[in-house]
Amino acid sequence: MSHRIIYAVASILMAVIIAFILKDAYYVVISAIPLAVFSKKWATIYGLLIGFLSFISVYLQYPFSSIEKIGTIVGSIIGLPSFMIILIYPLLAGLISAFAALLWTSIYEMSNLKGKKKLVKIKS
Amino acid sequence: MNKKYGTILIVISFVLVGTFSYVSNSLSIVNPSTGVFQSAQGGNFTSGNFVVPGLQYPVNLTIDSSGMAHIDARNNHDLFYAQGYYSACQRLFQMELQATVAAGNLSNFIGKSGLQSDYTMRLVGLSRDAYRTKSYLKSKDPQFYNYIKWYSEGVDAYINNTKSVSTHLGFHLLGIKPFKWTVYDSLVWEEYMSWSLATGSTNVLQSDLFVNALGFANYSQIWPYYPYYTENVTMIPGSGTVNGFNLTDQGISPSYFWSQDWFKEWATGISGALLRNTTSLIKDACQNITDPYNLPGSHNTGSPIGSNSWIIASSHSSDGVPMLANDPHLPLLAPSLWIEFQLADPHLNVTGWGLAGLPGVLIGHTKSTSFGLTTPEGNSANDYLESLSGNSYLYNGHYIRMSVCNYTQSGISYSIYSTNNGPLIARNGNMGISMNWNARNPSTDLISEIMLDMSSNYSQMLDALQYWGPAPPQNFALVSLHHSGYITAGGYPLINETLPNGKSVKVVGSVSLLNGSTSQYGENGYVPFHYLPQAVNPVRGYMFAPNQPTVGKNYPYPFVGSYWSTGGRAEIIDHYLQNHTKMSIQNMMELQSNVTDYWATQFNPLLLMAISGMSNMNLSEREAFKLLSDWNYSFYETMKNPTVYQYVTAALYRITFDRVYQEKKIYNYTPCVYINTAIYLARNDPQSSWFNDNFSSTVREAFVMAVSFMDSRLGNQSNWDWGHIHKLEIASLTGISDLGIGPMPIWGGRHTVSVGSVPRLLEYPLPCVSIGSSLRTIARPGTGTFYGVFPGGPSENVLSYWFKNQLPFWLNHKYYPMQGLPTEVKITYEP
Repeated sequence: MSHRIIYAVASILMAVIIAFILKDAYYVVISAIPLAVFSKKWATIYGLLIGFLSFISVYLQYPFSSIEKIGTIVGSIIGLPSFMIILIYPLLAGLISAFAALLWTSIYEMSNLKGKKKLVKIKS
Repeated sequence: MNKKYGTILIVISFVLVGTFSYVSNSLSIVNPSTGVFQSAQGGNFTSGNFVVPGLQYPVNLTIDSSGMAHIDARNNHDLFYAQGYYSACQRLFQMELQATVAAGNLSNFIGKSGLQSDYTMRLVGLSRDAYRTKSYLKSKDPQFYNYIKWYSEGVDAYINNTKSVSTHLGFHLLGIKPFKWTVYDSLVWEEYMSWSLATGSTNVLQSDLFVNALGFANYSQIWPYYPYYTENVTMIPGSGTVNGFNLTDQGISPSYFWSQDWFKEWATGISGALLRNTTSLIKDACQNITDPYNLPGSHNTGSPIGSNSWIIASSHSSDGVPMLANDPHLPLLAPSLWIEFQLADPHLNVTGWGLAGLPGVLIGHTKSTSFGLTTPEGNSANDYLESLSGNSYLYNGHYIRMSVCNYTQSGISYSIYSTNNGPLIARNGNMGISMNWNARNPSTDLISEIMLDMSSNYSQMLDALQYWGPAPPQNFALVSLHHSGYITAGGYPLINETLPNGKSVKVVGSVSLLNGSTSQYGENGYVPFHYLPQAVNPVRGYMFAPNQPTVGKNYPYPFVGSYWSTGGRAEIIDHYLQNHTKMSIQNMMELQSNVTDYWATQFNPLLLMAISGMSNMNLSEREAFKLLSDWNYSFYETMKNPTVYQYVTAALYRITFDRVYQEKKIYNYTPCVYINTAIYLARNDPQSSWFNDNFSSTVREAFVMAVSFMDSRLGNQSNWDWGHIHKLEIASLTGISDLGIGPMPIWGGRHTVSVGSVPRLLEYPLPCVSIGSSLRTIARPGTGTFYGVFPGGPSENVLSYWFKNQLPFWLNHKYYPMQGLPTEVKITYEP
């Protein structure tokens, strides 16, 4: 269990670094790697939350009223409500992170499955 | 886990990760780290030391509580460099968008929808003229060229600071990166501003359309050379004599001269029959030189740009020293066209407003001088009818090949042809119209501007203005410690004319197309500087220049092509200054905030007289009549009287002048008939066919129509407030409404000194006020007293307090002292 917490914290740290330094959502594919140790369900949920929250935390450096105003301006141009404009990118980061976590978990489980099969073969 | 199921899951996850990554990349504009939200950090000032590569010494910059930047440098290089850097810091997107529009490259920013604007800009030739000016300045005036160069290098130093640039919202919204700023970009924007203030070309086309549709008799009645009632309110007092020279001295009687039909073949070289065949060609030309992007907006038939200025001589001033007031009426934009500075170094100390993108201060003051400007409305561009054959034009009996510039933009190729007179702005078979705008010659306006910024007495200001021009001629109001006066500086092209009585005279401009196939009507020099309209220390104690006729009819170089404003603001200013023989700063402010319509004081009694004869008025009509009767002719937001006046006059125009314009198919091309014309006709020819043969009954019909309109569209009287129908919108250059300011209720009317012009239309809602006092300044160098305000702030960032920090004062006709305000921010730019 404690190992899993370490993996989760590592994923969170990597996601925050990605959001503030690398800045592009697709890099969360990397921060999702440590989540491979969780079950598919929890890896996906954690991935979604970590990706979403890391990018939404970027807004903390700006005044909220300014974020809202920019959301309204961009929303009026492309015809979406301002909250959608504010949330859409963190949401995408969350989705990328969630499916990346699912991907890594599946690969991890597959490789474990292979290992187990080999073990069974050797034992038999 | 089943291996097959696991593989499918991996594939699906992989595809979804790829898809969402692709989508996130496409939506990078809303990325909180790299996208549009970075702008939330921009537009605010932080004290401290900042490294600005390229400076020679540290430069101190303080921002006072009004938002004005005070730049203190050790030499000219660092001063203009820092001005460029700071301007870019506040206005980079605006500057680049403006230069892009002016250069005819808008389609690079916004795609094919910018092509029409690009075509117009390239047709007018702003880019060509800017290159010509650049070469000229570089070779002839390297010192002044360097000032512009240093400014440009400062802008570019800021552009290289990518972190700061990323806070400019506009670049994110258009998905573009800033381009390298050069001297050319400053000059092409200067050309655009000149073009927006150029008069003549469009007016000539409009005059010809009117005459072709309605004949000269109607033209001279509706559009006299000097608008009705304006002959006694000229900028230069008197009959028109300048430095001892006038028309009479040339053996020409002004009354004879001004009674001529200047559309005749002797004046233009074009027969009436030929002129009548040009209507569709003229309409094409009008359309081609109207910029659809319409930044400053003068070259269309909408609200004309005007301005106010007046000077008070020592004898008329409460403190015994001269004063100046100026408020140029330009498009009110967010951010403003202006940016406010104090620029100081050992050679220069000037405070005021410069145009964003250009070095120096254009309207402002030094310690001992002050200068402001308004537009004088005489022809600086003339149009010529060309006889064409293939790609050649006829000139003095020979066909000469036109020069051609080929362009390809957004996959569309086009060519622009030019004759000796200038670019061909329309062509129909073997006929074409070319435009000769005086900006074809290199502009030395920036030399003049910076010399004004360095001036310390009246004669130095006059010396500086010898360099102003050739485009656009401007009425310069000048005040020093002891002197005050006006000069209309710039290049007015002269045309040699031979009058029907055989006398020759050089005139400014034309009311009609001129024959381009002969040198006879070609431009022949400019009005000599010594004889430009000018006067100093007026005996009566004041002068004023709100776009009314510049000089009287005896002026030695008559302004045949003159399209003066109605003179309504001039009348208000004249009456006020006559009645206040000891003007104080407070009086100057009071006059600048005046919202009384002089023409309403003249026209409303005529309307009331006509309406009073009505019987069986309903309740609304009785109330409307009472509102007109009880009116003091002010235009405040909370008053109902101006609303009734607006709609009654609009209804009257609809069933008289506008109906004729519509029938003759010139409504969208020709300016609205002046109210002074309507007043003149109502007084002197009430049975005029323009009024359907009976002024009184037509007014009554208009009154009923207007009240019925207000009842049905506005509802009960609680909605009749002027501010309910009359609103101000300070639009963004991008056209995105959320980046602008308003709409909001606003005072003022078409002819009030504090202007709030809207078209005279029977419509609700009315178009918003979009042109007005782009800044207000009052200066009294003799006592070191300077005030100013403008409807904006230094920043272009809509999220910043500094985006519109001066707007509340502007709306309430309040002012900031231009010195001694507390410092908000202290910055040092270090090399």
